[in-house]
Amino acid sequence: MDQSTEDEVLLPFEREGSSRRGFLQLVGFGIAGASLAGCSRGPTRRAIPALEASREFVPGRPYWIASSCGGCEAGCGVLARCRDGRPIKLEGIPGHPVSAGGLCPAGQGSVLSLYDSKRFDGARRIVDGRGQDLRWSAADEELTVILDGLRASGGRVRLLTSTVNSPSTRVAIDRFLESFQDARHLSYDGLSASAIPSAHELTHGERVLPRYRFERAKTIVAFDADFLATWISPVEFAAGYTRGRDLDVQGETMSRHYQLEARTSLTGCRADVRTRLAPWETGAVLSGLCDLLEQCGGARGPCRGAAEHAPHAELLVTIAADLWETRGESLVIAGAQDSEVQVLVNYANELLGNYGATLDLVHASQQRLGDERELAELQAELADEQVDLLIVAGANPVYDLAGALTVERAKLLVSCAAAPDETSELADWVLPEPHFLESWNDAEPLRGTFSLTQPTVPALRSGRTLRATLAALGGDSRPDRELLRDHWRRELHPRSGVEDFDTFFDRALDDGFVVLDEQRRVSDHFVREAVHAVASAPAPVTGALSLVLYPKIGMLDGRHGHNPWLHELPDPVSKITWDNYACLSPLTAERLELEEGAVVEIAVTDDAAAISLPVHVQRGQHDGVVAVALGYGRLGTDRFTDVGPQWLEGRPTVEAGSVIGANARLLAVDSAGRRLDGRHVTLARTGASVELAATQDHHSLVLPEHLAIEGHERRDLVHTTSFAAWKADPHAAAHGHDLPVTDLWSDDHSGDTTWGLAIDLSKCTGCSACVVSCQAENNVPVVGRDEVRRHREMSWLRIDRYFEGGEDDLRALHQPMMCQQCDHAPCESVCPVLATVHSAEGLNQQVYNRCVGTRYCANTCPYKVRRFNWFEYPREDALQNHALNPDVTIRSRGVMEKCSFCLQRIQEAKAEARREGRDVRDGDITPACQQSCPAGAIVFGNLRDPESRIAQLAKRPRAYSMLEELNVQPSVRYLAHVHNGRKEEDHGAH
Amino acid sequence: MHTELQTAHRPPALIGGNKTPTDVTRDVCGPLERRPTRMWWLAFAGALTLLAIGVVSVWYQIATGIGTWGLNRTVGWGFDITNFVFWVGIGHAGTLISAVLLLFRQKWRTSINRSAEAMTIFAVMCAGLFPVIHMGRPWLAFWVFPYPNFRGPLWVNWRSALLWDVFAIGTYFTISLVFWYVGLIPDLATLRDRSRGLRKKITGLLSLGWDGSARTWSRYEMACVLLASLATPLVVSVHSVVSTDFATSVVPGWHTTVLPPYFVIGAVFSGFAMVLMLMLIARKVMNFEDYITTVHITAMCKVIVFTGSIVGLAYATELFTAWYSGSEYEQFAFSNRIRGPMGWAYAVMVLCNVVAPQFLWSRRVRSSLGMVFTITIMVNIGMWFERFVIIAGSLQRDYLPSAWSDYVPTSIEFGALIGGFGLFFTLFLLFCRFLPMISIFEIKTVLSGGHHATEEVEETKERGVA
Repeated sequence: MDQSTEDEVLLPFEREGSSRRGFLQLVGFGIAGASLAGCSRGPTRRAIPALEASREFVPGRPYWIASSCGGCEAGCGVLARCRDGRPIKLEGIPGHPVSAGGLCPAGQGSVLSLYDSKRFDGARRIVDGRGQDLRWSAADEELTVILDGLRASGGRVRLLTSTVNSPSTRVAIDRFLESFQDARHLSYDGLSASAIPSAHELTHGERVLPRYRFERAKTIVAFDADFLATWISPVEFAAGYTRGRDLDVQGETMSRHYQLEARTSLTGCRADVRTRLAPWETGAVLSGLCDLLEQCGGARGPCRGAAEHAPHAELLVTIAADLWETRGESLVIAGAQDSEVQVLVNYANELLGNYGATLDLVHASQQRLGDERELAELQAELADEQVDLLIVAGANPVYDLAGALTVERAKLLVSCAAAPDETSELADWVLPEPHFLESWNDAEPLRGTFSLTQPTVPALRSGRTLRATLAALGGDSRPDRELLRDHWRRELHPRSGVEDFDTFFDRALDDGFVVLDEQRRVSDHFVREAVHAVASAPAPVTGALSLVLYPKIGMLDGRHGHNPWLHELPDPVSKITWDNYACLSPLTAERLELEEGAVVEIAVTDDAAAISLPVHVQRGQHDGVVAVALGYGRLGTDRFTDVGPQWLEGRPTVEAGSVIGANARLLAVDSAGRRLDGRHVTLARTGASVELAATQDHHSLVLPEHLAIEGHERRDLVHTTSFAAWKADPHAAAHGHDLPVTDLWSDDHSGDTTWGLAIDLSKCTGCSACVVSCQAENNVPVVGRDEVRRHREMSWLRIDRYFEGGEDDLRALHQPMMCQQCDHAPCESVCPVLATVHSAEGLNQQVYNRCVGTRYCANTCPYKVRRFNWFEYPREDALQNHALNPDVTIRSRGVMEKCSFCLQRIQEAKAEARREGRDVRDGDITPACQQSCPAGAIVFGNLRDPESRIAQLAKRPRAYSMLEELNVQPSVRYLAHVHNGRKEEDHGAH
Repeated sequence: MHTELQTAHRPPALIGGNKTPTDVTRDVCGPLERRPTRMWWLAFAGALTLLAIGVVSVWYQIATGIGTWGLNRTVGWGFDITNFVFWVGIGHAGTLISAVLLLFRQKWRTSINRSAEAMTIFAVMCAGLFPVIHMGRPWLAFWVFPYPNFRGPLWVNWRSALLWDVFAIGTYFTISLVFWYVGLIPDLATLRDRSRGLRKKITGLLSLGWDGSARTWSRYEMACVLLASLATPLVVSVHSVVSTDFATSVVPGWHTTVLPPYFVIGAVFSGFAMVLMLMLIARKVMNFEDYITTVHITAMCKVIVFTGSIVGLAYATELFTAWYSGSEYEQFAFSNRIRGPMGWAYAVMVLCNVVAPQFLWSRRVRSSLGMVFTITIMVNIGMWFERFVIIAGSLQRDYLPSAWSDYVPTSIEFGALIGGFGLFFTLFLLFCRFLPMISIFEIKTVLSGGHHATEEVEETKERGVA
């Protein structure tokens, strides 16, 4: 018999003639088996046998369900990665018309909100402040009686929502409201862009939000619009933006990005040319720009003469020249919530012929449909107690408008909040909406692009979508899925050209989206009469500052305020976690004698409103403004008291009974419920001081002056060059060391695989989606504010951010930093117990079970990417343990951990390839960071496969390794950052 | 109190008070046979309090997590390894005095070698404690030993300097213990002969049937010389190996070849300071002024000023090599060490280790016990800071500025630091109580006061038999 050795070991009894040894082995096995059987927990009394195995649920194997992200209104397509019946990770759908495969941090984090145990469970009626849970049917019955009364009496019914871009829900809303004599649907957005549609109403005669095509723009001029981080549809824009700057694809061209802004935004930090613009001057500057463009076109227009008095005149001339040169391929945008300013933006784009090219009005964006002008009318009605029924869905007006909208004065307030919020606190009824991962829904983020949301898990909490609720209250009790299908059958199927509806719907469900031909006609008449030059608004008086409110990338308008991942995500600009703060420019902070962490009271000069926040000194910010993040001070955030370790010197993340940060909106609403920009505020020191929890202390590659060695004042860790220099010489970026490499040892692994990662620093926008993605994929714990303060954050992937340049031309270099999987890993040689070892495929593997926790490896790691479990880190909400990835070990206290290049995904791809009887192909393996990156900056692959994408990238002249001179031979290649600034070009090829 | 016999034709007497061998035996054994003094009880209570603080701190830390220390993602070692290196260093003087000085026939060592060796053992015990408790999972500390096992089998990493430490410290402790115990045997026999009851039984057992015959003595002395020869290389090797924890790693400020001699000389320096400090206390508390005389103090002062100067040279060399290396990271590490956030610690280190010992060039300072005592304490503080500066100071700012981080120790870490001293002093005080602090038989070989010193030594030996 010809048997392999392996078989001999496993099956001794199969050998010819049984030996004594074999007999003993069998006896041993028998005894062990019998003893193990005795260890069982006894009979299971209740079990449902799987008579027929589910096609989807193969225990231990993940499956994917296509859906749409509900993290904001942008409507990115997601694939929910599910294990054993529950979603554990969200990933972008490759090729999705909006997100193109990427996802933002908030989207990545939203899977955790599904497992929020604080969510409402079923309908609830609140009587005299006491909640009473009801069955849905009972709630419907009671409410129907009330509604019938209103129908009969002609009562005033108002429905207040955020943007509803679900077509089926819009139909349900219309149908519901039609049954009343006086009913209206009003919508506003927490992060509003309503000035843009309003401006288009004036200039194009239609209330429309264009779809911005950054990939087509050669010159981008943005005024305060943080389009790479939070503005309207950041994933879509980041993807487009980087495509327009992709040195590998574009080759000869690269878009030039001008950013004029008041605060230091992530987008601004990435701009080629950035300057500080006072918020009160935006109109004047835009008028000046329009004037210059008029001059370029030889036309005389409404802005004539504006350029003479415009601030930044010199820069404007350059911008106008660049724009004019690339007319039809340029884009002017502004973040200002001021329709006069937005009209000027439209005018500039019209002068440049950008409509139809970089601004698409046919496939218009539906991501921000709110019109907050209506809020004033609603508030007037509320103030007079004329509203009989107010239904609030998908919005939290009490928080967003800081109490200026007196919803409690409606005779009956129904909240559809999924979890307790400021509005549901005041409601008479709560009819909670489900999490998007457990419900049916659809969306039309862009006209003609329809996406579907489907349940990925049996509902964890009993909720009902607004569509189903309104249908039920209108007497239509069909299940949600039927309502949705019905709409699609009637409205969308006929447009699809597919014969059979089921085929059409199932295909859409499978893909997550469907793109239908958009037949809309758009008027191309531009109403020039609407345009007029805008003068500067009054600057704040001496001692006062202009208030700038901005959303943070994770928290947005506060809707993610209960998400610990997003709280602990370092802001990509300030690197601060768990807080909002008052950003001041260094000069202003010095002038006001305020230092980092000093708590100030910010008071509005012509109002009683005031909040207290710590100061953060932010480079690159305009001296006349104070910038404060929205989304903080959310009700119930004292739940995070228990986040992180509790020990002798540990301080809680938030004091019991307190909240995280403060609601900055309190400073910026007026009594009519309007949200205001640029209010004038004063700062007064309260005397208190706090230590902000930042993950980075030194913010520059330039060393502290008193320590720097002559000739080495700056560390060249992020290679950077200009586009002109790069074009002239592709090696310009690689001012590498090119050191001769001598090896004392033969190669550690001689196989044909070395896994590597290539990161294009030109593409990376610093958005931090990869950070949250990594956290979700690898079960990285949340450690709380105090531990972050102590520099013990656990993230395996961090984004180093270095500021370059002065206050007026500040630029940030972002560098994602994770385990570099060195071939000569310093960590491997120092571990006394071989707990970190090199794999045959070039990976540096951490063996948690073997680790005794000497931390020697972390000390010797030149990149400081190793993370130690200082404590046990249980979750604040035990239900959120369901979001854990079962493929990745939970690390116990006392062991070291670090990035594994998503080893579990490598193994999965290899197993899949083996199952299919083939080799692993390039692109089979996508680590979580690469998957999530909207910009496509990260590429994983086999460095030893010359055909692989990564091998190609590694050969680029721009490619370099970090700290090459140490000869630790990292497997991560960085591609130098190339910017397209003006100055360098002057010295460059021209 | 001191009797410095400085005459033209005779070397200064090592032992004062015109002692006879009988006096020596009585003086050394006496305190062990009486009830402890109030002074001892006070000292012991103090030491136990320190130890208790340490026990509570370490217990809390092991139960809760290393997070109770102020370490972070950038600074992975702080007080823990500083204490470890400090205590290993303290141990060095004992070996040097007993082994190297024995081989060099330095007779003045006889009064202090016993305590110095005891100190070595206790210091190494303290030192050994810290690498164990600094582990994230100290209950698995035995994994650092290469023993046959069923976990794979899993083996240890011979390339890791931490593993070399395990063997260096293990060997050192074993040899020191054996050497110390062997040195105790004749004195244990003396104690046995002077006692009754339980004490006699225990000392009888421990003295291994010592009979004091010429043959025993001959073999005994051979054993001592052999052990001394074995122990001598350890003086150099142990701290050299400890220094490789740093020297073989890639951290700027650690990665330097000067570290092994630098560490060894620093160890001898700090060890001598500690011995001298303890001797100054002991001669007062135990009334050993006649045994530990100005001669001893002066000799040790000279060693301290000598080694202290070499330490100063090492500091200068370190700066020079950093500059000469041309490596921007190396240069920055030292710039940061001196002018960075821990610059004050560097200043303390230079002041205590380089400046303070230089005062010992002056005879006046050397003969002032108060001054000498102050300097020894300063040296001990300075040497602790030296390790702290090297370890935490280098880690806090290495390659990537984004990862720089300060290090602020917690109360629990101070507790562990205090506990180390508590353990050391507790053990030392117990040693003073139960074992002869001064080597009786060796003192008798250097007596100058008695007329027939040599004969009396012989006499004593014979008495040991009886």
